[in-house]
Amino acid sequence: MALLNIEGLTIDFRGLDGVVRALYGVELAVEDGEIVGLVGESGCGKSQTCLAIPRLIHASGTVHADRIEFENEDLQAYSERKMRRLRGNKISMVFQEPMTSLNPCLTIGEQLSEPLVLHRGLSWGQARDEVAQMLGRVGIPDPAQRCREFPHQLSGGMRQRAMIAMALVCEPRLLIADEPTTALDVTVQAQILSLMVRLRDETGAAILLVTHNLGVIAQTCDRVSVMYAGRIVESGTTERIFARPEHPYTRGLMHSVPRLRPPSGAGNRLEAIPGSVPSIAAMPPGCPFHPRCKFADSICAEQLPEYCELGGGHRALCHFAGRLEEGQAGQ
Amino acid sequence: MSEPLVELRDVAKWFPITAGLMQLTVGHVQAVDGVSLKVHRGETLGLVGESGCGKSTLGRMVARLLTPTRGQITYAGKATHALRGRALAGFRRKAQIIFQDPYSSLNPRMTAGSIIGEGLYIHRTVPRGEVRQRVRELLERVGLDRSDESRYAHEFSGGQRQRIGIARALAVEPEFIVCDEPVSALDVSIQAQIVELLRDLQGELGLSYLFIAHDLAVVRHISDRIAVMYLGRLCEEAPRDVICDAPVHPYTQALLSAVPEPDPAIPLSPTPLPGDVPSPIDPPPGCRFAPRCPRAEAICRTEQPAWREVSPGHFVACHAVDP
Repeated sequence: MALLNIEGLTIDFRGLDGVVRALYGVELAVEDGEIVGLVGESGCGKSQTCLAIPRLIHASGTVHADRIEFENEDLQAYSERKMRRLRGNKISMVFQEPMTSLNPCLTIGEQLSEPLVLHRGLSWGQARDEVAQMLGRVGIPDPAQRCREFPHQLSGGMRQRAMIAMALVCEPRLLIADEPTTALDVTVQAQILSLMVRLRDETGAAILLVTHNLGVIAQTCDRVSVMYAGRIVESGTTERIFARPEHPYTRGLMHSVPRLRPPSGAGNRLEAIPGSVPSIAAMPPGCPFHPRCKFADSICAEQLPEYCELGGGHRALCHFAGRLEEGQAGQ
Repeated sequence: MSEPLVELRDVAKWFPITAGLMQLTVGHVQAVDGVSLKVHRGETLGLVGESGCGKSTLGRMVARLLTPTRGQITYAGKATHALRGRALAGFRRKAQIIFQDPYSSLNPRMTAGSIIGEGLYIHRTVPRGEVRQRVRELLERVGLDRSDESRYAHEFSGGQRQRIGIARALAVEPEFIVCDEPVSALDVSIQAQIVELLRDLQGELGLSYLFIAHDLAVVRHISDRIAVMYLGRLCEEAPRDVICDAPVHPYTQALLSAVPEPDPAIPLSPTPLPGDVPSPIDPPPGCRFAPRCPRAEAICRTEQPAWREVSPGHFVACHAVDP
């Protein structure tokens, strides 16, 4: 049984122009000790999917789900009180902006101690020792001194480490990391990624890693789900998805990213995906990707495809999954 | 090789830090400190480095939006900061800039048509009566619709705004464009569209680019030569394949190994570079990379390494690299 199991997650937001749907029946499962990647472009719903797990969706949103289960318990049935006991404890989050997600008025030590005091019932003094130890584990030099400092005294990379340390103090079973390295430079990104992989190996925690960077996915994740316009369009093991992507959007993404070490035989031009992501208020009929898809046929504009099982847990939301080449040859 | 179009000789930019009631200068941010570079006609020079390394400051000095504290920048053989009057207007027309943030670099109160057409009115490159026609041609050339001329910046997506920024730069028929992180703010599928548009325009119009970015893969894709910057100084400069396949400076090597490749068969860099970039207010003496460098020796902490040519066209500033 999976540690986290989400089925049919749909979120509607009430806005000035009526109700818009941000997520359409998202399915996601995370096993113990696994790193699962969630990849997609801005506005595809990756962050909303993450926020729905610990029930942090904005008040204007309505969540419907067939199932949101964590450790075999139905999170939708949890009272707010029970939910608070879970957040920052067994499920914790790391946000994208290390600048804005730490409280500027509290020292690093104070805000990192809080989860230990609230969830573990430690005294502030005991918590401080444990926080200093955790800061050392995430690679912050001179942790006792850093505990007394405020967020603005730390660099971006240090703040993100502090965020990760805060998420890990209560030894979560599931760490949700929403673009944890996007605001960071590549050398610092490499430090944070290897830190997360190491902590997974040491503590056995599962990680749901949200990113738009295919390189980050390829190098850290066991499995990956690709999102487009509020839907998971393809999912499978990382090896499989990178070796044989079966959804045209996944293929398009892979071909539009320049490679630092281009594989032999790679073309000189990047194959950009034409057009842009549809607005959630104006979704095209049929498959949401069909206006940008080079494999699209008449059926794609009329009918939403169903998931096509491709074996080994690999599935794609496309009428032509598994036979993209023949589809194109027929045109 | 032909005469360089743009040449920088020992260019530095120090921003003063003032404090107190009297606004006394208490120190300097050494944003750029002694950079020499050349951009030849028709080529793209890629400039890479992490945030705060001074690459945007350098780009702005080249576009004459900032005055160097020291050193000289020449354009077609003439020092740009000595230009006045008509000669300066001529330079402004020939050298354009595309900014990183497509949200803050377009005036929200102007339509796309007036943003693109403004330069045409100022430089009078086409008769007034033909400005509108030219604006429409430019919109179509960058992949927008001619009816977009009457829309405002907020009505466009990030990628479309960057296309407007490109059309604005192209309007006055420049020879040289400073591209300051033109794709960093865009989604990956849109990045590829803009990168390919810039390459097509270069081929058609014979443009030269100074392409500033932090994404090495993008820079490799578009550049002929690449210069790597760290904390205000250049580490290494070479043809792009030499930089990417056979770098010799320890920082270039670390930067390259830190880039995650979209290929699960290539493992994560086993030993990421430790620490953070130091502050440019009080940079380390000697080689600025020495505190994080795996190969640093005593000399690196005291003496600034010289900028020297290790093989034709391959420059490096490092004590540890053999000649």
